[in-house]
Amino acid sequence: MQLVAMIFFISSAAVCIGLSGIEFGSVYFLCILFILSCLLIFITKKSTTIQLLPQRNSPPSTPWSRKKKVKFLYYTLALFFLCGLCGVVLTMTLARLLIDSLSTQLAFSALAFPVFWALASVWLSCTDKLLRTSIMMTFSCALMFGGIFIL
Amino acid sequence: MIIMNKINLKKTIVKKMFDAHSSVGLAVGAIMYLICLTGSLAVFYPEFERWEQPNVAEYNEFSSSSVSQAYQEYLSKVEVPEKSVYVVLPTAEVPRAHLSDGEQEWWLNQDGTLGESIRKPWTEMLQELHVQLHLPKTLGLVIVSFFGIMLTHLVISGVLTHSRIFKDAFTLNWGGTGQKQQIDLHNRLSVWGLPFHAMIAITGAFFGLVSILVIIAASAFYDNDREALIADIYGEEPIITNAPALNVERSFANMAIADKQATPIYIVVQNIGSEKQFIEIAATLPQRLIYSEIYQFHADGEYIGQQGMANGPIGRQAVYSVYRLHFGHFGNVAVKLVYLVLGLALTYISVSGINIWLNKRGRVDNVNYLWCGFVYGTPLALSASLMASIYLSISAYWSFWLTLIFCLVIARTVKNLSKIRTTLLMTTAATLLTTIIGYTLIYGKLVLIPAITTINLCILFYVIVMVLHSRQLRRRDKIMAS
Repeated sequence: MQLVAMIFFISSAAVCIGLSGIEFGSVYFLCILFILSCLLIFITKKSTTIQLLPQRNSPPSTPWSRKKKVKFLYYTLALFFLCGLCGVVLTMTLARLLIDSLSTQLAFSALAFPVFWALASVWLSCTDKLLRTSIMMTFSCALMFGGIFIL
Repeated sequence: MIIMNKINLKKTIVKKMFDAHSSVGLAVGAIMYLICLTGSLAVFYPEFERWEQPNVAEYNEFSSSSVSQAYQEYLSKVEVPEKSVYVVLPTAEVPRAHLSDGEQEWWLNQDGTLGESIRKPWTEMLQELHVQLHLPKTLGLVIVSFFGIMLTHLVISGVLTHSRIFKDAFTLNWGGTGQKQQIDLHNRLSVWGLPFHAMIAITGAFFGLVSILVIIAASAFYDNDREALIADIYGEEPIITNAPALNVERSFANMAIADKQATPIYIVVQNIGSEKQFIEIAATLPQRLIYSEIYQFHADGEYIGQQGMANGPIGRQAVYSVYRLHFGHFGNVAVKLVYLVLGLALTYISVSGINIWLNKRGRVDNVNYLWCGFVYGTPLALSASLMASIYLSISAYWSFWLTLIFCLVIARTVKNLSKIRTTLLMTTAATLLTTIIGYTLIYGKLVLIPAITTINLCILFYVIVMVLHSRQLRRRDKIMAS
């Protein structure tokens, strides 16, 4: 069954690309995939009468402590400045290592940096040791920034 | 023992990812909803522009002599011309030409004479809300692009949170109180729309935040010369001295010889009226996502060459493909419709994410009322600003924000979720219905133009959806009460 699905998946991508070219075809394929899967989901949906979900009964919110406010402010700033810098510098270092042409390096960096920025922010938002992670990020940023000039 | 440790580690990672996903989602959810909703509608901005000014001459052919006439009219009209003057040619989606110098814009008659000034207050408001949240341009653009990064964060953390991504790929529990339905829809739409959402997030982040990269790269490789860097990526402009007189017709004739497959979309005269003037014609190429190839000509129409958007370095082609990919302006109208559906799916995901969190809290307070007022008030604010810009010529910006604030105040005062939803939904429906009736009375026979009729029918369809949704919500509330 999985093999049939895989064959169907690949052949429909091939048809789309064959008919509309690699650029339009791949976008069309992904759009069609979304539409078809949504249709399938709606066709196979299970109707139920009442669905009561467990609730947390969390206590009413209290004013934030000073420590929490500082942490929130630091986290917001780090998410923008530190993760941003980290993402951009990491992308450029990778581009310098992997690609020859300077203009292609820059184009790759321009399109890939949001992903690395987001990855850095995921890391920062998951860690328990916010300060240690930030110091590591800063240190690696400085290292990679030097690397960009040396490479 | 090792297996147990692995399971625990996996659980810990999923838990942390879930916390990161919910905290970032809660922080950005409201603005994300605004950006996604306006972005979905903005896919159709050319159609809305037509709708706002239906009394402009429409045609599919616009000769090169008409373009020439338009430039002559422009030069005689303004005292000091701007640096770049564009004539945007008619297309299938907007069968009317216009001239723009960046400061002023006019529709053009088929003979090239200047027509009415372009007036599209609501479309402009919608686009600026999506692009810059009505903030000062650079600040707004950077903030909206940062939301692109946060969307990428949510996509990544969302996937890592979802431990049953394949098992539940087609599961949807429907009906009842709608709580389980909401969770399932949130997950299913997120997973299947993932490539689109990631693409929209990355390209959206690119528009405003690429400047950070430009600053670093310019200092590293171009002696802080940012223009040199941009020229290296996008291609250089020719350096012209002692430019001859303008001959647009010849440039179009030479363009047809240079590339037979290209379809011109606009022409721009750079440094118009000076000794450095030259012509650029932008044209789309079949089956290519690049915004356009740019063909350069001397002012007298002699062909210089192309900028290499279609056949230059691969990086240049990739960067120049970002625009159409983000806007959904390629292929035909079906692509736009799919973009609308996918955009609305992302809008739903933004709203349902916060709804899920609110439902789990186990209490109803001001946060619930304000959120409900915001979600149902935004479409009402958009409708009210549309009505205000048509009937009363009131600023679309003010009418939008005032209506939204009014909705929040109402929500805070009424303190009944069911009432807030029904009232706002029915008011939106009534506002749109009134707008359509008023529009028909103002423009008379012009509403019979197929494109205008289609938009009006779509608005009517939306009104019906609003009414049906309101009934569905009432039914759900009854189940909840029982």
